[in-house]
Amino acid sequence: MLKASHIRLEQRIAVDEFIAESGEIHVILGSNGSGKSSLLSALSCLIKLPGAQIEIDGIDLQQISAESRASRIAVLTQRQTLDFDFTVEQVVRMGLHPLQLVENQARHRFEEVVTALDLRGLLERRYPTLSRGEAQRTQIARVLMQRSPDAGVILMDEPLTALDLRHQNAVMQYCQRLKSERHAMVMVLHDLDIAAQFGDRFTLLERGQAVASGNQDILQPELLSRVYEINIERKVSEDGRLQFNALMIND
Amino acid sequence: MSNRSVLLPGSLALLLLMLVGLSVGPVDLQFSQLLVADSTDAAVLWQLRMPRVLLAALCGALLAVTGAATQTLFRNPLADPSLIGVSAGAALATVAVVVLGGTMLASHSLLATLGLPLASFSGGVLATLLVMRMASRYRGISMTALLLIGLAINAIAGAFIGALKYVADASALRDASFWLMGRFTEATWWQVLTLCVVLVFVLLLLQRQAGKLNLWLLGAQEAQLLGVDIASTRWLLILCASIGVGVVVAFAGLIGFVGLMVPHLVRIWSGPDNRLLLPQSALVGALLMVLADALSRHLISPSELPVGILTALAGGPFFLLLLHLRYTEAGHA
Repeated sequence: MLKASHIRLEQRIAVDEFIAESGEIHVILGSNGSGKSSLLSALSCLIKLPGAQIEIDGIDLQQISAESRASRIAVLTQRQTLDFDFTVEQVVRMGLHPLQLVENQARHRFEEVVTALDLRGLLERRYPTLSRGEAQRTQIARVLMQRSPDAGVILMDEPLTALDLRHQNAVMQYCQRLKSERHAMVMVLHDLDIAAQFGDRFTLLERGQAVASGNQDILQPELLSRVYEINIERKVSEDGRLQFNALMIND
Repeated sequence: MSNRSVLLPGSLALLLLMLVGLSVGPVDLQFSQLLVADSTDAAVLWQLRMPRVLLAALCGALLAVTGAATQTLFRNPLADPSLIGVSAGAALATVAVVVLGGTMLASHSLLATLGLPLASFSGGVLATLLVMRMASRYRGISMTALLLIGLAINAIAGAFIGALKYVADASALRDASFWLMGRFTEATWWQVLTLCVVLVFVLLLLQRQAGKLNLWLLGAQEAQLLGVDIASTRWLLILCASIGVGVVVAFAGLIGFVGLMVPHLVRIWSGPDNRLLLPQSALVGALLMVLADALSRHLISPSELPVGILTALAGGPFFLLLLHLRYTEAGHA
């Protein structure tokens, strides 16, 4: 379980409490500039916040070394640039660095991640030659390689960016499966349908503040319309899934 | 991108080339005379050519390794100490000491032997910090920013060096001019020893961290999230690059493009993994430099070309080619 409190950073973010339970996917929603990435940076201890408390199962993340933090928490950031000709396989394997997996475990995990993210045909490709979607899948794979062998934390900032629909589904399905390893997963998503389908818990950010947090009952059209500043309708499909429709204006 | 290593064949080729290097020169050495004590041939071999060839090899190795380290530091495969102004900073410091402190140096030989490399090293560190400070204001340190800053620092250092040459007396001027072109003519065993120590030190330090340096290439945040202590890694790279560039500049002057070319050639062969890149760069750098030195003595024998002119002659077009490939292939700056 990841538990954070008193996250305050200038005008950008003010969240009093944030909890991600083990074995759950916690989705952070909000418009551009609402503080989603700042919240993730704080949770991953990339920015040190005085007064903030960030704990994994009672261990204060700000008090331990970067190395030991990296073995507990795997983070996908938003922008990655790599100008050197590493192969996809090399990049994916870099995720293993902070962990002490035995050879067998490592190979098993590698095969699993590569299959799940459909990277088999790309393993020998040089990273700088990848398309954006391929690069994104490679980085997701690297981060998922880094997940703790025990119940750890996985943070992902807009993992579905640049992915086609099939691969968006593949990423979300794999994360769904990882719930059984009892990881606490936190991700920033923009697609409300996907969020509602895969998320267990939601936090809605508006101007740096958490305006609502809870299960999918908080995803009400009035609140969403206010937060996203566009009219959003909500309906329930025949098989009981939540669907959202933003009313785009075209004039 | 396999784990092909050139270490073994490279070492053999280096030995062979060094033998060639030892045999090149205005005096034809007689093999039978070499082991005779007090013979001219033995003196030429042991006091002139041997330290010179070793100096060339060590400078080549260090320049290549520091080139690789600089490229890692800036996460930019086109960064090179001579392009981004680090070598110029070291050169300026050295010229300043030689011109302004000439008389003091002449009377204290210890000061001269220690002072020059130290001044050169400090100049290199200062220039590196300046470049880093300025380049990191731009997000992610773009190549354009880096090269433009390098251009400016090279120009500024060049202006000061010019001013120092202007006030220098005739002999100091000639010394400084030749030295700035890069040359191995004044090789001594003391220099060989110093370079040897520095090379082993730098290579061991970097090689131990090679795995982490790979992670560093993913980006500062990513490296940190993978458990790399980025502050200490940054200092390690600055220290190694500046020491390496510093001693080479102090002993052999400005020899450009080796730090750029060699890691590139090695990467084409065995990929960007620092664990393979660093030792192989050292070897290939040594190889190229021994070759360049032999050529510089052979081409217009019995006179000789400053070796820096040769490396620039080969390196300039090579750099243009790299830029061309980069802009046409990847389409980004």
